[in-house]
Amino acid sequence: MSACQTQDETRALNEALFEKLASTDPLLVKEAVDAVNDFTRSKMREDGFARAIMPFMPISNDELDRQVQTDKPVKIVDKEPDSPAAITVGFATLPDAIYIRGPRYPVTFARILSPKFTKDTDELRTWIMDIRQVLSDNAIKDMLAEEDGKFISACNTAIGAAGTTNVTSGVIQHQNIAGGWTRDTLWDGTTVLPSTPSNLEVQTSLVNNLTIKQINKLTRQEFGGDFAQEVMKNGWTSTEFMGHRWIITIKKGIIANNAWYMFAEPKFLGKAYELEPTTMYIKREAFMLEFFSYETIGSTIGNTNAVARVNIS
Amino acid sequence: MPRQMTDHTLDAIKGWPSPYAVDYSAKFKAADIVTLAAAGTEPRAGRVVTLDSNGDFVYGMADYQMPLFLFASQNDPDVSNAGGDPAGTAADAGSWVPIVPNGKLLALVATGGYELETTEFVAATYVYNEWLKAATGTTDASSGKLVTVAQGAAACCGVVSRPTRTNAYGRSVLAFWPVFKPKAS
Repeated sequence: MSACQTQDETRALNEALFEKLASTDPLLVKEAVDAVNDFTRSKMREDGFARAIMPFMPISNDELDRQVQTDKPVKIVDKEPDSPAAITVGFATLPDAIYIRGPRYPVTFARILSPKFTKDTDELRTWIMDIRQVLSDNAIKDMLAEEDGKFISACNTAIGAAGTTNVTSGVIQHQNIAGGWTRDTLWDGTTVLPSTPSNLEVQTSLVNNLTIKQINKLTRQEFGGDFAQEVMKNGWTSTEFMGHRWIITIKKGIIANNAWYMFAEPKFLGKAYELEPTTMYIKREAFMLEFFSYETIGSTIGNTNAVARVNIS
Repeated sequence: MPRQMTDHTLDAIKGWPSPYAVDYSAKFKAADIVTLAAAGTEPRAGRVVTLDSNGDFVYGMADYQMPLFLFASQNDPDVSNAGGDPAGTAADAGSWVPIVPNGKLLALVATGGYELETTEFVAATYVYNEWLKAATGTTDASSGKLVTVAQGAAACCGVVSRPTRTNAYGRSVLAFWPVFKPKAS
């Protein structure tokens, strides 16, 4: 329920939604479904951190790349080829030959489905919550957990085990830093991502809601100036800190305490496509309401040098 | 000859798809994928699988596990987008990491009410009402492929409904009704 919506307004909205869902007029049913879909999609955009770090781009059928081995959707994305550095030599020699190749990576698609929920509509009559929210919250919670969980799982694969040199970058992209959350460890953490051969700077940091409270403990001297006072009075309200964006998530099951993920700009990270946006399927049969949501998405980390993780201890 | 999407298939002649069908999705046992890949193959649609103690699919059936029939192959792009291990394996350096898909294969459970047709069976002459089973293991030539079994001799996962024929894509297929009959104890 939105902050400015009264219970009476919510009830009126619910009744209107029910009337439309129960209608035999397909246009009215579509209106009801569209209302839920609008609500669902805006919530998906707001609440998913994977989407904030690697935003989904809509992709149409004619942008897909047809394959011989399958009729399932695939998009081939070009990678920027690496090239060796220039060298200084004496006179009377020519450069080594490099045969140019165009590396690519595939983005393949799969469907994400929420569970299928059922409810007797007469039981919903007593609910004073916004029904759109009831429908979408149930479905969204599961889908976002799937999206965000898979995203972090892929990031962990990309960076490798803690303290281990990544064979792609030749540096440790998953570092343990001791010393607690201090001004020094924070800045030390930001050196991990640019240390790869891609030299990418941090654009987005991701920590959980307990970890940020450790950062809140930084003193006035460490924060520098009145920011410490601001944090002490109001808690963490900033989205910009240390020159980049911070995302704070409550998903502690996905982002461990004291784990700090850093990401370069999305264009360096990979591609995320949305073939079918989040859609709520709603069916009312007699008095039983059945609903689930689904989406068809594809996303791939194309450049593993664009992710880093630091564990502060 | 390149792999074609019609090489290894499971088709439901009757009774599927249905929103109420008893289908099941799980990952294939990772170690077996590696073994099969080393032999140049992959878990393939149309083969019989059962769940191991971790809930992963493995080829074939022993005496009492519920059989299922793979509808997807491991290499299908909605199942996997194998980029390898760019962080830890030198041969995979510079590769990609898929976020989606997640490696789960769809399978149809042997207790479902449908008639299925598969390309995955041991070449032989099959007759109506013959009982079928599938060998366990990671041998591409036989593991997970349907083969006849004498009634009561071992668990059964299906009964031949139509002897082998060549389908519209030029592949030899065998049709059967899935059933689950554990081995008589």
